[in-house]
Amino acid sequence: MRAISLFRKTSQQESGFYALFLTNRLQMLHYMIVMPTVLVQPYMLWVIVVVGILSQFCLYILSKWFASPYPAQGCQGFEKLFGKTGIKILALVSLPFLMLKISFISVSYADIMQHFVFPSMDREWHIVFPIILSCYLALFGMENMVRFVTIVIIGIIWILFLYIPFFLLPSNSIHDLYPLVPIGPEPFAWKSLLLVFSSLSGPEYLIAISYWLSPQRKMLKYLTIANAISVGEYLFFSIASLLFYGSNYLPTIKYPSVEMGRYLQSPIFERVDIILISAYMFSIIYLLALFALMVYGASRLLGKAKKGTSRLGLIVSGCAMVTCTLSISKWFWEPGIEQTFWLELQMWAGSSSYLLLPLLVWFAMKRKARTTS
Amino acid sequence: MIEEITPIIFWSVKGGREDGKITISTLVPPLSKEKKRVLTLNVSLLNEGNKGFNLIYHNELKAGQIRLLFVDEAYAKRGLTSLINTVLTDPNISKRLFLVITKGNFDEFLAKHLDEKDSIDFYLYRMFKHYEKKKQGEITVVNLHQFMKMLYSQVSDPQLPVFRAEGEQLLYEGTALFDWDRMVAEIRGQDDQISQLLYRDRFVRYLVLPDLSVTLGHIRAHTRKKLTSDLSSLSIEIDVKGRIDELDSLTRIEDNFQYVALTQKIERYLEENVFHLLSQMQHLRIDPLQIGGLTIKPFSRPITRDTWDRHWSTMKINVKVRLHLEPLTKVK
Repeated sequence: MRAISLFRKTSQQESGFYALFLTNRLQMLHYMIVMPTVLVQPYMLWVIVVVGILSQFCLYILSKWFASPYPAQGCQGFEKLFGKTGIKILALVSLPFLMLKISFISVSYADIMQHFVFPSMDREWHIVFPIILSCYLALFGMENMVRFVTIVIIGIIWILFLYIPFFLLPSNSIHDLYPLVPIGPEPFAWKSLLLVFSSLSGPEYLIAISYWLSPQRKMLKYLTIANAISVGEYLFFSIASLLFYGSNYLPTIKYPSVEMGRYLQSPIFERVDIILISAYMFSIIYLLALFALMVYGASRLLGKAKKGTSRLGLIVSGCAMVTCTLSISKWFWEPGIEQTFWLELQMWAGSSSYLLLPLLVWFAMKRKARTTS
Repeated sequence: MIEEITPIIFWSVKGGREDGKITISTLVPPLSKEKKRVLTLNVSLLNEGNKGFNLIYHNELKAGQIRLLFVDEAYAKRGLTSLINTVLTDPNISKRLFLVITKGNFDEFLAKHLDEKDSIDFYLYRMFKHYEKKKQGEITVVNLHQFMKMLYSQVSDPQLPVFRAEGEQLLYEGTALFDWDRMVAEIRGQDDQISQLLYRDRFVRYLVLPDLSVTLGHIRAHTRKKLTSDLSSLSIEIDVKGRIDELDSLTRIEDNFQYVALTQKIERYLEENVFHLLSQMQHLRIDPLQIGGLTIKPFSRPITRDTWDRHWSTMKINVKVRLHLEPLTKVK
């Protein structure tokens, strides 16, 4: 979108795989925090599949955007589509969504870090250090960040293989995965649909980065594969935790994925879960850096900045993120009602942005096509 | 720094004092070549013990490496929930903690092993780890996670191994059966070995049947359980494959006829024993063999604990054992 330093684009040859990896990482942000504690009944596994299909629909609309000629033109494309004021309104509206996502993710992961890794450190430090690291990462510029996603994937994908022994425990029984349909005494929790859908949200932010992912006609193929991989990962972890804990014990565990990591034994490391959390923070810091760049870009759109991007500007937006997150963590994050409030807010915000943003862009394109033809 | 902390390997908990407090003991210092000591405290809350130990010993005692938790039988009969909950809340304590019920005077047993070269706590831990890995059905090994999973599951009950401390020996007695979190029964000796067979196809190395003067070796049992749909009867078929390892010297198997007769005798004996074991469980309304798990079907509502208890206590049980044994010597 911009032409200088942080937001420049040099090469023309990009691969659809960047979009694939980015989508997958954006969708897998929430798994450690919220799932699978919410999906305690085995029939909820179908919820994941159904919501995956719904998410596929959103990605289909998103791919229409990529197939159009607008992304390749960067900022000019957006201007043609929405007009100058339209862009400002979009940036203004997207800032709170971004900040909410950033704060929620930072504070939740700081919670996990504090619970398992450094119990005697204040949670605030666990928020400040990752954001500082992500600002450093963001200073490399958007183009390098997009390319970096392959390294992130390589650094994360081995975690999946660690969880395979949970399927092979001799004390597992297939009865833990029954009943397959919801006939039980508890009413069906419709909120879980919303939760899974908001966990699968995230690819709509690719609209903002589409200048660096060179648009291709076949983007839908890559997005579908990424969606399928995310749904598969969620299913994998949910089935592993259901087999390991059973649906009665599972609701009492706070962070099942990490606790399962603790159960693993190795002759070299005592606390495998610390390694898991640290490896996972790699992905979180990367995504926070991406969001920092987006926040900076959005705030530049709002202002009248015609001069080039500067490192100072990025650091300032990083500081804004830190302040926002720290204030939420310090004053508004009591466990219980306040925490569930943020979770619900994030659920609604994530789901609505995932559903509405691609639709909005699509309508704009259709309207433009109608007015020009 | 390392000289300032002491990671302890086990806690031993005993109740039964008049003022309602519990006694908690541990052995220090573990794994180093010094004369060892048993530290004992009387506390009302477990973590009071965790902290109190620091005040009576020169190093700080860290509970993060705890591997064993010995609970006295009397305390187990009153309910283990409060103890387990305390252990669960500490994020440093791993879920692979082995739980053991002890009878007799465990402190006295410890007092006899305070020599420098004796690392009894470490050897006890290695013993449990060995038998957990080997799974030869010699002792029941249950860790905290397995106990909690069985505790929470609707239709099954947990079990734990029982050891008796006699003088300077710690002897394996059997398996303790629980009703929710209270210990209600104990099965010993032969019954214990047979129940090991029933619980998920374990491999039992030696099954000694002194009444019949025979030892079966390398037993692998495949159990098939079938419940009728109205939950009125259960039929268990056990296919046992193994060898006759030892026979009383006076009886010899000389031809096929005697061999079949012996096989049938052993089959009847095992059937009776399994039936007796299950009747005992029915009478106590507990279900450690997780037979209730068979009632969960893919497309129907899971049953509640009360319904299952009602059906289980009045269920008819048919046991059929089929033996495939290799004889000791060649049979004509």
